[in-house]
Parts: sequence; structure tokens; C-alpha cells
Amino acid sequence: MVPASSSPTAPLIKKSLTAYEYAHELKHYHLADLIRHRLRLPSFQQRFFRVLQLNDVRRCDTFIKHLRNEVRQRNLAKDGFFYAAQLGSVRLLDYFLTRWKIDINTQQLSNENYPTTALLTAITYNQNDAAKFLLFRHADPSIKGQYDNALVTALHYQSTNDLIRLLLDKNVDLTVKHPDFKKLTLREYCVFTNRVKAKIELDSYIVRLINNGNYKRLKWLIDHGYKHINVNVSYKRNGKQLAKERYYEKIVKLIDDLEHAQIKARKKMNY
Amino acid sequence: MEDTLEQEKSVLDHTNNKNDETQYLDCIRLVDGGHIRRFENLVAKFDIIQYELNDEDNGPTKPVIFYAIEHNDETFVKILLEMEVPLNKSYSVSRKIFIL
Repeated sequence: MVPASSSPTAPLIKKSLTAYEYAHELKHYHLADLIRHRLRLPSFQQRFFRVLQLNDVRRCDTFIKHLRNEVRQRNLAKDGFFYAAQLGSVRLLDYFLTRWKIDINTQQLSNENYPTTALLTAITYNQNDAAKFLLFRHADPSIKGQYDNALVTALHYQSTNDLIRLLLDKNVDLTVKHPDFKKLTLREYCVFTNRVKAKIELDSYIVRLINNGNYKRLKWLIDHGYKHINVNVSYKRNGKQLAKERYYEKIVKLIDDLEHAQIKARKKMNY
Repeated sequence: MEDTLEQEKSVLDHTNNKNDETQYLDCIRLVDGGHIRRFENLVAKFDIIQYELNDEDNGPTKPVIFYAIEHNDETFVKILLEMEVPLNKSYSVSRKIFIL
């Protein structure tokens, strides 16, 4: 190193420069402006969320493509899939599913550290259309999140009836229990929390099962501890009568056995 | 800046069994040479941002964007900015300060 006294230059000074300062230092002002502009923008996630809010497939595509790296693009697309479910945008959900081939049942940790799927996210944010769309694209409703499977989540967040009916028709397990009300069955939970319409929906599902003579499913429900099979179809007419009218002997027997067991249990309690 | 297909192929073939450091050096070389297409092809497979973010101590002392700035290459700077390279990284320059 040249000593300071013997040269017109000062000793070497170490300087730390960021990209912006460096561009300035080299007097490439237009580059410096570009970098400063980028620095002033909101954070990456925020910008991505805003692009998704525009609900525009093409803009979203350009935004993701700018990343250029395949792994990063995929990860961002996966995030975007969940955001789309949150925003309830069917168009974007379709885009992510078809363009990026994201697995519809892919899971992610939610803010409260529970695993969640796009379907559960859509139900959580009350995006009925998005949830229905995901179900039509064969999303699995039995994956468990914070409030168990999709049906319990839908009941918890007071989803509309058509969604609940769709979930039931997808044969989602209704013998599960709400994690906050472990001792109640789902129907009791509906009664307890005054969700009348949801309760009617559950009952009408049972009626449909009896109507179609779906013995297997009914038996399965009873075996798994669901007791409200003999529902009231209408005033003074219950599920057993309906089964009788339709000559579903096995279902009549099933309901008889169930009621018998219940009476027995009640007697035992009294003693 | 002639990007023939053969050249691209050879670059890609090499990258498959190279480790991160050499790939990173390749990136720098491509930025130096201004080969945009080949740079994009390389970066599609190699996560350059992860590499720059990952190792704090033995990581690159001079992030790629500084090379692009040095060459006054606006397209490259734009590409790197779009790729969201970290801008808070600093580069230590040792230089003489002239006293007039």
C-alpha cells in the first residue's frame, strides 16, 4: 500500500455500497432510478396479493413469469392458489389448477399453524362459489383442518345451505365432532348453536338416503355413532314410515334396532 | 451475442452436474458477457436468489446485480429487478479517495 504522505491519494478506504448507491457512484443514474423505484414499491407478497385482487389471469401470469426460476414460480403459484381461494376467485383458481397443475388437495399451514387446504380456506373466508368450484374439481372434503373436515368447517363458518348439501352429497363424514364440542354429534351441535337451516340440511340428507334405499351408508353412519336416523320427514311422518312405504325392509330393521338400543340405554340410565 | 441452440444446450448440459458455486460463477459470466437468453435458461433451473440469500458468511461478496450495474446494462438490471433479487445486499469496495 502506498503510504498516505508520499502520494496525493488517501489510504484505501473500505466502503459498503448497496446496489442503489453503487449505481449512483458509477453515475449510471437511470439504473439508480430503476432501483430506487423498485425499492419504493410495497413488499413482494403485498404486490402479489394486489395483482391477484385484480382477478386478471394475464397480469397474474406475467407477475409469476417474471421470477424466471421454475422452483420459485411453483412456490409462488402455490401461494397464489390459496390466496385465490381466500379471495373467492374461480377464474384464478382455475388458472392455477390448469396452468400450474397444482394438486387441488395440497396443504399449507394457516396463520394459526393448522394445516389447511384451498377448500377449507375458501370455506373459512365464506367464499361459497369458490368452495363449490373446488368440490366440482374433486377437492377432497375429508382433509382435516382447524375445525376437522370440510363439513364441520362449513357449519362453523355458517356456510350457505347449498354448499352444505353439496358437501353431504360428496359423502363427507358427518359422524365427526366439532373440536370445541367434543360431546355433541354434529346434529346436536347444530341444535345447540341454533343453526336451524344446517340441521334441516343434515336431516334431509338422511331422508334422501332412506329414499334411495342406501342401506350401506345408513349402516355405516349408525356404526360410527350417528343416531338421528329416524328423522321427521314431515309432520307425523318419520323416516321409519318412509322406509316402510318403500319396502326397504333392511332399513326398517336398522331403525328398529337403533330405537330399541336407545330405549334400552334410557332404561338403564333410570335404574 | 450469438445465441445458437447448440450453445444453449451445452450450457444446460453442464449445469446438471455442477454444484451451486460454479453455476453462480456461470451466471456472473453470462451477465458479464450480456447473454440474456442463456442467463435466463440457466436461472430457470438454478435458484440464484436463494443462493445469494442463503449463506451470509461465505456467500458471494458481490451480488450479480452489481455486475450488471458495472456494465451499465439496463435490460439486465431490469431482468434482475423483476426476479426480485435482494436489494439490501451491499458490496464492499476498496477504493482510493482523492484529496484535491
